[in-house]
Amino acid sequence: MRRLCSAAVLLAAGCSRPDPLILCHNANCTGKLVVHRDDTLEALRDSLAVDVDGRPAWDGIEIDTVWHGAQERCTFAHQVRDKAPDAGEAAALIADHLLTAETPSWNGSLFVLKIELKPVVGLDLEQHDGSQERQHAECVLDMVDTVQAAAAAAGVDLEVIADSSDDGLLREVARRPRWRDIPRRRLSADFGAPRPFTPDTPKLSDFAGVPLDVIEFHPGWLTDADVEAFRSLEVDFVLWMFSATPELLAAIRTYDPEYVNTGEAELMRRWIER
Amino acid sequence: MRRLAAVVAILLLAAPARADRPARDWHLGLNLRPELAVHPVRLGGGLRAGSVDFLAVLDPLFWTDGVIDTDLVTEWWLLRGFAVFAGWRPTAIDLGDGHQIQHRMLIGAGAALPELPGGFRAHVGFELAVLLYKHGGGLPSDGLSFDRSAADHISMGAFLQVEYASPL
Repeated sequence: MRRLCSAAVLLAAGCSRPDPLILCHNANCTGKLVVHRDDTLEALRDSLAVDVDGRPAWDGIEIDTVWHGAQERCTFAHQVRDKAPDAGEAAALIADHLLTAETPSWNGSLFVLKIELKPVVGLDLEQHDGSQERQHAECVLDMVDTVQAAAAAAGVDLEVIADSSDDGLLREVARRPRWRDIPRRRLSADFGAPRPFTPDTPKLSDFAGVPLDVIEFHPGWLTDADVEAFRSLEVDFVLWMFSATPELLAAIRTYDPEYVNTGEAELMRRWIER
Repeated sequence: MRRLAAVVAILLLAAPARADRPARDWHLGLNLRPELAVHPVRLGGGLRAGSVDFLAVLDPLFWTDGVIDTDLVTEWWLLRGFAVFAGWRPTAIDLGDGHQIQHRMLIGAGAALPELPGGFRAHVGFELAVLLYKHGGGLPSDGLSFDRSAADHISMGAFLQVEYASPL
């Protein structure tokens, strides 16, 4: 879109502004990129308070969940961490926000709860076994129950996105009746840096048969062919980023995503609303 | 990788600049870009004195998205037709009631293309841009990180500069 807008100089045509829903990346979107605070209760509390003009800067929050194989528990974390809090604690904080906030999100009526299911269960990058997949999926649906109850009590529309780079985890979520009972639910395939930079980045073919609604990717790390393949699936896009650079802002205009997942929620909101 | 391959191919095709080029000139033209990092068309110009070129590149397309990139670059034509350069790119992002300013260091290499008629000339270049610091707009200041978020702080770009040059 950025290039299209530039061409408009010659064509004397205007161009529309992007209007994505903004998600708080890794529950850590206070604007300073301190990655060791990703998916911590402290950063989540601070992020829930990030506002623009008296409203939350974001439309929803991303929570990462890790099944800790050795401790056999579901954690709120970006990677396996022994002292990570239980994932339910993050859900409880968000539920409390929905019950107490004057305005639940920037748009005022919809709150997007995006829960990423991380594929690794151990420090040596072990993957889930079948039992762990089931327990992880149940954990995510327990979190949804907590937030859904609060949203209903507060009169807030809730959209739930279950996101993973592990197709097995998405299949496990999707086959559960509790998932199908969520009125507004979306399944998202997550693509990070290409192999070999990120060994657990999936292939699109891994998700064959998964009823995807959304694909999340970093626009700087994939080829145009990858993105065109995503487009062919007629899914919505989530663009994620570490830092809001001109390249990423241009990508938002180019790909016109439904969601932008950023650690700089205030910058993104003010840039969009300028 | 594709951009790198394209730039290497262009560099291999690049022809040496003419030897009878004046010792000093001024030049003004278009700086054209294929990637998303900066706007595709900017205005670039400067002064060349011997083997050193002082360049400024300005961004007239800021109105399309509220992002203004300005380059200040010094280029050294070390070999016949080939140059290396270093510079600074401040970027201003419009936030409605203020701007965030991002500062990037630029390093790269360029090559002259065959001379064009009528005082026009062209050269191509490849650059590495590193985001060192950002501040302003009432947002937290932040510098170059040395963790996984550093991936967004480093970018590569290529350009074609087509310009009119006249002796001083």
